[in-house]
Amino acid sequence: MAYRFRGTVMMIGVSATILAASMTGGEGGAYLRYPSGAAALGTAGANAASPSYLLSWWNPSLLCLLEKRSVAFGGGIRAFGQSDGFGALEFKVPPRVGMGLFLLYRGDPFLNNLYDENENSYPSAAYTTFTGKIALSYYINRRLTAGGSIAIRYVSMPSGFSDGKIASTSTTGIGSFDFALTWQQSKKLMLTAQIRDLGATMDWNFSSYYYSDFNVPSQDVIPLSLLLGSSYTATLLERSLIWNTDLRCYFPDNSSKPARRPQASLSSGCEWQYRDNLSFRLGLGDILFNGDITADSHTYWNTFSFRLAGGVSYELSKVRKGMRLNYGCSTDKVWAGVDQQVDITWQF
Amino acid sequence: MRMSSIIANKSGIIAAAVVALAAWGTMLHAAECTTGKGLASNTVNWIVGKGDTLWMMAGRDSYSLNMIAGDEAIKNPDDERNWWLYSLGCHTQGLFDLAIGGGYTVASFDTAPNILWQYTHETGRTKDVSLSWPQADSSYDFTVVDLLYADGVFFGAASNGGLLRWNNENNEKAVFFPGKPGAHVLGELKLTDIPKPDSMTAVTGIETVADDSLLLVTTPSKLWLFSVRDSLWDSVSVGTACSDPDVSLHRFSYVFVNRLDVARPIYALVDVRLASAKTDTSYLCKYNRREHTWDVLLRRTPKSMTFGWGNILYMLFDETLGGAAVQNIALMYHDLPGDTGSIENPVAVEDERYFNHRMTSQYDVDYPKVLTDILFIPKTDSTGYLWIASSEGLFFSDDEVAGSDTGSFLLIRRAPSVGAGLKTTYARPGIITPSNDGCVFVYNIKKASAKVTIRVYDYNMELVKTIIENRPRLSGKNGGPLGRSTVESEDRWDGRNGSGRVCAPGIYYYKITTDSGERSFGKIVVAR
Repeated sequence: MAYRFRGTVMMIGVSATILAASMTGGEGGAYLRYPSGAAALGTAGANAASPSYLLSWWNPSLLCLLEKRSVAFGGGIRAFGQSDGFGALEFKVPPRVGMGLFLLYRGDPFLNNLYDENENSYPSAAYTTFTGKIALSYYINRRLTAGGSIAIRYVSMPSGFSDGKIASTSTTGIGSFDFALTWQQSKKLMLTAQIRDLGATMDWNFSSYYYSDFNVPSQDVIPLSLLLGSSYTATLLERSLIWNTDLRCYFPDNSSKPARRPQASLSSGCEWQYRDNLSFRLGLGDILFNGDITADSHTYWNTFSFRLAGGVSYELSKVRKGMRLNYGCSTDKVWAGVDQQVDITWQF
Repeated sequence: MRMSSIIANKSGIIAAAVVALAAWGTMLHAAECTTGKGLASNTVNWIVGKGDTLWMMAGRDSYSLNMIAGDEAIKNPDDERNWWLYSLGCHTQGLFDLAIGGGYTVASFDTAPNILWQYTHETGRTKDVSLSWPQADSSYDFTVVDLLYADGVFFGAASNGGLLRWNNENNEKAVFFPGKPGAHVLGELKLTDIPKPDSMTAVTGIETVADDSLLLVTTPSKLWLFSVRDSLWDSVSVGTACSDPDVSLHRFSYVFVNRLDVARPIYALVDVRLASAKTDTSYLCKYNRREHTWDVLLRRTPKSMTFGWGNILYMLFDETLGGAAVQNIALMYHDLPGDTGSIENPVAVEDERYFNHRMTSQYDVDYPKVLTDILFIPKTDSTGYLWIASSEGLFFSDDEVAGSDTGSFLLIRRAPSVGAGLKTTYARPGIITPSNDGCVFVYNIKKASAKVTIRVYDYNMELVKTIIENRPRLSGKNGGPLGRSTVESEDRWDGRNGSGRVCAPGIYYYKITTDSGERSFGKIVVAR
């Protein structure tokens, strides 16, 4: 058993040692870090090396390995009313190319507890984001595939109280890139390395309502991130068990210089195929590693959080061949409630 | 009499109150004017008062007038039910001044055509009174920039329209032009009756001298005396000579009479020209009747000023000194009595630290970002009410002994009750914008006291910052400030993460927990 997981464990250990990124809280693009898709949520976000769908989001380098066209759509809701909706169309262009289109809505349509400086309650507001990705993949050889995607982002959010109403501001960012490489070590072990959100910025222009005649520009830089992922296929009780592990490191200001407090986020989860048409998922994710472990262990453990997730996948062959229903749920890291996602995939 | 905004206008200081007024003046409001009880805003732009009556104008995006009156009410000014509220939604332009007298309050608005607004204290009714000035081009300005109640009628400094007299009992409106005999009925006034517009002869201020029968009327070039009883003008024997030969007086911005001093000394904010400079600067001067000269009292420009007993001058400043930005200062000066022997640049008897401590200690709040107005209203022969208006509410000392440095101010601000047990929590304001420094967490615990922790998370529930951790707090019923558990100086978030980096625009979530098991969550928007 130790041999089987050696590669994954080594990768995690080496990565956590050599990679550095600063505190992630409050950096740009936080809404992009949450898992997309019920399967990924069920494994607590550990999904990059072998996603079964939404490849354009998770790993565009695998698009060229698709055997059939794939359509997926679904949505979810989180503890605070945050909502997701997503859809994807992915297909192979023989012999070596794969392509995919992905659209994600993510937002909080229930910002209904906002008060102004005079403690007047305002009834309605919404935080809305749309992220679109166009992905392309290329089959280099039987072990190595490469891919990338270009993203378009739109964000609209409340930006002030004006004349008894909540005013909103929106912005669009075009042209950030993801790059991915996937290495198939064996039939059981897949490894991936990805650079995500390269060049992702959002330019804002917020109004200052007190001095109403000028706007205040603000550039929201979404940190470059490096993702290392592994997927190992084993057996448990004579059933297939896929164990995924993702390690994410964020580089504020898109700088690769080590920060004062190195930090990485680890997610790990597995999918166990109970029957041919039924799978279960379990995961533990978003575990932060940073310099506080040794420098300020009290703070580290006092603020320690993680995501505990589970899910199920059921084949809907009676409805249509190649269709599956996925459900995932997870704790939300602050123990406020349960996050849930459900989606349907169809391969044809 | 509203000194602060006039001072600010004339001296060119971009005070918060004036900015707010200007912004408001350009906005069109479709809303109605409504009346009610309570406070609508904690941004108090200016205050006017007389006896046990105080008016204030508050707001930023929309504005309202608040009034408290009567002995009983003023004993509990922090009870919102004691404040009469009038939202100014129906008025499309700025409010200039407000005067109290005869059971009425009258305000002037910068509308076209100009109007006066009247509030009847006995009935609580309001009405607008149109001022029908003759049709004129834009070179004429009929704005009533100053209002005063004297001898049973209201007077207004109507800029190019001269001195306006309005008897609100019979609605008789007459205007008088400085130095010119006779009165003109406003409705019959012709454009040819009005002197050609001249910024140096426009009426910009009025004060009572000695008693209500004599008005001191200010024009930029000259001061006039106007007899209320017989409507006669007399050029005041107040020249423009300055005791400092290097200083020449250029124009009067505003003139004040200290009625708390039996000698009625005259102070003036004057645009002066120094021998060494080509441009004007604004000084506070005091008239020396014996020498017939103006003494430079202060080589600074207060944005608000009020007189206290014992020749105390309370002033607010908002200016840059010595290359460093100095803002938000309340100072107390001690002048010499009478109108002679003024001291140039008198030493402040107490400085902003004195006010800072008195204003903040009781509530553990931060010193206000902007002080907008200060007003002393005599109560007895040695004490009075001292009001300080700010961007964070109204500070009140109900038994102020001039020169004393003891006693806390009462903070009067809109503070709706908050359900105990963390049933209701919110961030104030819920949107962090370029206009504010962050937010305060409003909450109220159930237990008499508990240790509270507040943390902020981003959209992905990554910890952004621990605001407080295990800090002791009292419930609102057990002595918590303003009936809550919030300690405003600590329970606030400036929109930065634990490393001090400004957080990215987006939605953030907070979690408030206590060691007794209470907890609550809420949302904050960072939009800057």
